[in-house]
Formats: sequence, structure tokens, C-alpha cells
Amino acid sequence: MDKAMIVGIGMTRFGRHPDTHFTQLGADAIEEALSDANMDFREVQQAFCSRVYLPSATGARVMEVMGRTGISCPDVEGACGAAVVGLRQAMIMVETGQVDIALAFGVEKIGKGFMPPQILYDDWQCQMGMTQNPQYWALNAKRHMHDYGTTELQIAKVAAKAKRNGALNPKAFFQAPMSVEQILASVMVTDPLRLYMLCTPVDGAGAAIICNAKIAYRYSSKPVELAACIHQVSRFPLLNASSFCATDAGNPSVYASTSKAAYEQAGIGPEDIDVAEVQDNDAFSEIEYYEELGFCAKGEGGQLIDEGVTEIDGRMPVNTSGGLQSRGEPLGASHYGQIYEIVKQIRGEAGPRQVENARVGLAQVFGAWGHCGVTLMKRGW
Amino acid sequence: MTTPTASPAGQRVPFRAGFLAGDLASLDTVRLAGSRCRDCGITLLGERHRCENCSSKNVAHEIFAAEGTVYTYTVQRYPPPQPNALTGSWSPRPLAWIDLTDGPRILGPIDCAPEAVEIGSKVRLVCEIGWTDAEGRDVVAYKFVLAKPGRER
Repeated sequence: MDKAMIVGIGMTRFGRHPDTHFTQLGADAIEEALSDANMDFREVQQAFCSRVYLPSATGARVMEVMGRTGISCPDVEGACGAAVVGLRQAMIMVETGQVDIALAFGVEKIGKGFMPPQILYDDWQCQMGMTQNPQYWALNAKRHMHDYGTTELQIAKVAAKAKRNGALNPKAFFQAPMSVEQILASVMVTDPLRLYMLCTPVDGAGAAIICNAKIAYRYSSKPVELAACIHQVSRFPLLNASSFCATDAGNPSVYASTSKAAYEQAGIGPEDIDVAEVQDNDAFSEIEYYEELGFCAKGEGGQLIDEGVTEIDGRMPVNTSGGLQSRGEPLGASHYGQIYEIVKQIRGEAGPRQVENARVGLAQVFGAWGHCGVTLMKRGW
Repeated sequence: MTTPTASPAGQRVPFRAGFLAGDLASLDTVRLAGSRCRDCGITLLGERHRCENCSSKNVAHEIFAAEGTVYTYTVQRYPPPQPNALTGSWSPRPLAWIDLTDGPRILGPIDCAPEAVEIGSKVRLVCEIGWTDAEGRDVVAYKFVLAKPGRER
């Protein structure tokens, strides 16, 4: 098997784009990636488009703007984790020699407020009013506080870090710092999670160009190697999304098992990660991911934020981009927002968010009904 | 004018087929129905033909207890998105993962003051008509209430 390299990366600003057609949003991200790779669109041999709320055949409709070169461009879906599915398909096709150059991109447009529930939940769950996605994170947070003494203040510190980092990210939806006090003073949405501890669903697009390592030099002097890309659908129970029954089964969480498989595929461990982007749809979940991805022991996630370990200048920087909390979450494109940041970090192009000597990065995404993806990247030159 | 001979009005159906047991006309007797896997031992809400945990077909159907314990909870401070059948003016509402006694952990609303619930609270199942479906039938759904303190059941 050959190695697959990311030679071009692009994303729109994530946020409100009411006047931009979704095909244009997708094209904007793709154009930035092509430009980044010094590549002509006609060189792309395969594409995958990820989206959730956008209509069927979104990818084929983006070709209306990019040019219909006759390539395969199906849509792939995996709820909020959709983008890792397309990225993984692109990587496998390049690694196995099916194509030399593949484009993986994601697009989303979505309205304000809680996500429309009908495509994620059964009708009875809607009728019973059990469809606020943050309820699951709040339920987990409450229990974690009970079991391990995690505090509201620790959760607020994670949110403050997100906003602080997002203020340095011109691609983020939310670009203003916020203090712990402001966060703790924001309205309670679903106990214990307050408004400024939650991310916002937004519009946006992201794209990555993957090519065979043998020809990567034509497109980039700093190719980033895809060391692993794993996608799993959670074993029972689903702890974090959409479910109505969660009897403990003694299985490892899907975040633990997906990251374990990714570490194995890449031949590394969590201690080798220099920078990580994780699924902080809310500030508490980031604390849980410190534990589940192996950065610390179960229950110790709160200590990491207290000790500044996960700040940009800390020992294990997490969500240097501002995470979902600042970037927002355009579902089908979300993982590309994470990939974009890790690629920039590894190349040394992250500007004020730069982690010193970032060589190995992790991006973890999670979506409703148990979709989990972990992508590991490392310096490819 | 002819009247339809089989009117759906007044007919009752469960919120999901295989998830309720008992005579729906007598709501006090209605219980949550589910499954217990004979291979891995997991309990699940709903009458299954395969175990959701281990995929075994060796699954027994069971009627679960009407009592449980709060494993964790939250309080919905804002109304959930539409569509929903919640009527009347909105007030903050507890939602919990509830461990049914010798049964599964299920998600359900608790009809009580938000301050009254905590991890470990004992709750009791209540089944009632929740809404009308597209066919005009009454849908039986569930909620929980706090079990009366000090009362043995």
C-alpha cells in the first residue's frame, strides 16, 4: 500500500452565509484547497462530498460550479461525523492505487437554533420533546461531576479557552474572547450547560486534496501524511447522541475504540500527539475526550484544564482553532475544520495559534447515532 | 351520509410497536416492554429479535418494572424544537436517564419541580395519552414521577 498525503486544504469561514448558494460555498473551499496545492481541478480523479441537512446529490451539484469533469462524486453521510467518512474513502482509494488524486470535501447550510430534529430522531422522541442534542452532553456532564468531582468552573474554563483561541482564528464563526465570568453568567440551557458552553450549528464548507505520496512533491513542499483515518459506529450503548436506551454493556466507548484503532494504524500512542482537535460540541465533552482519547486517566480531565495543559502553550494543546465552540458546526464539513487546523499546525502556518514543533496531530469527530472518526496526521517531508 | 364503520378516534397505539405491554385501555396496567439477551445479559427497551449489543438472536421478551432510579438528569430550560406534543405554557422540565429496577437504562421526562430531582431519586412510571398520530389514533407514551418517599411498593 502507498502512503496518502494531504497536499491542499481549504475552508470557508464557518458562520452565517445566507446569500451564498451551497454549491458556491463548497466551491469556495475546493478552490482554496486547489490553490493551496497548485493544482488544476481537472487533475482530480475522484471526489467525495459529505453533507447532512443539504439535499441529495449535493456533491454532483457542486460540480455545476467546479466543472463536470465526469469523475465519481457521491455524497457520503454520517451525521455530524460525515466528513471523516469521505476523507477515509479518499485515503483508501489513494493508498490502494485506485486513483492518484482524490478530493474530499464537505458542505452544510443550516438555520439558527436547535437542529431540526426530524432527520435525527423518531417521531415519538420528537413528540415527547426529547430532541435537544445538548441534553445528552448535559446528562453526561451531570454524572461526571457526580462521579469525579468535575466542576462547572472547569467546564467554563474550557469554554473560555475555546473563545480565546477562536479569537485568533479568522475562519471561526465566533472570534471574540470571553471570560469565565461571562460564561458562568450566561443563561442555563440544559443543566449544567450554559449558553456559552455550547457550539452553534452554522454554514460552511471544507476541502482536502489527497494524493499518492509518490507525486505529492508536485503539489506541496510540505505534504501532511495521513497516518490513520478510522471511522466506527458505536457499540452499545450510544452515550452521546439521539438514543433512548443506554444500559451499561461494559464496552469501551466508541471514542476510546476508534482512537485506539487509529493509534494502532499509525503505530503511535496518545503520548505522541503534539496537537489535537476534538468534538467540543460543548465545553464539558472536551473534558471527557481528554480522558477517552488517552490524554489522561478517566476522571482527570478537569485537572488538565486547571493546570493549563491543553492551552496553546501547554503540554497537550487541544482545540487551538477554538474548536466547535468557536468555529461553529456545519455538520457535513465539520471534520474538515479540524483537519484544516491540524494541517496548518504541522506545516507551521498556524500564526498566533502555532504550537511549537507540532509534528503529529489528531482530529476526532463525532456524530449522532454513534458515528466516530479519528484522523491522525504527521509531517510528510 | 354514511359514517365510517371503523373510526380511528379512540383507538390507542403505543408510541412505538413492541415498546409497551398491557391493555392500553387501562393505562394503570401499562408497562414498558423490552428484551433481555440470554447471551450477553443486556436489557433493552422494546421487543427485539436481535440483541442490539451482541447481535444474538437468543433474546427473551420481558415486561419491565414500573419503578426506577435516576442515574443522571438534566433540566430542559428551553422548549425543545418542533415538532413536539408538549402543550400548555412551557416551564423547565427534568429529563433523566433512569435505571428501571432490574431493567434497562432509558431516557424519560420526570414530571416534577426541577429542584426536586437528584441522582439516586426513586421514580415511578406513568403512562398516558401523549398525542394523536397521523391516522387519528391516540398514542400512549410515558413519563415518570417521583415515587412517594417512604412508601414500599
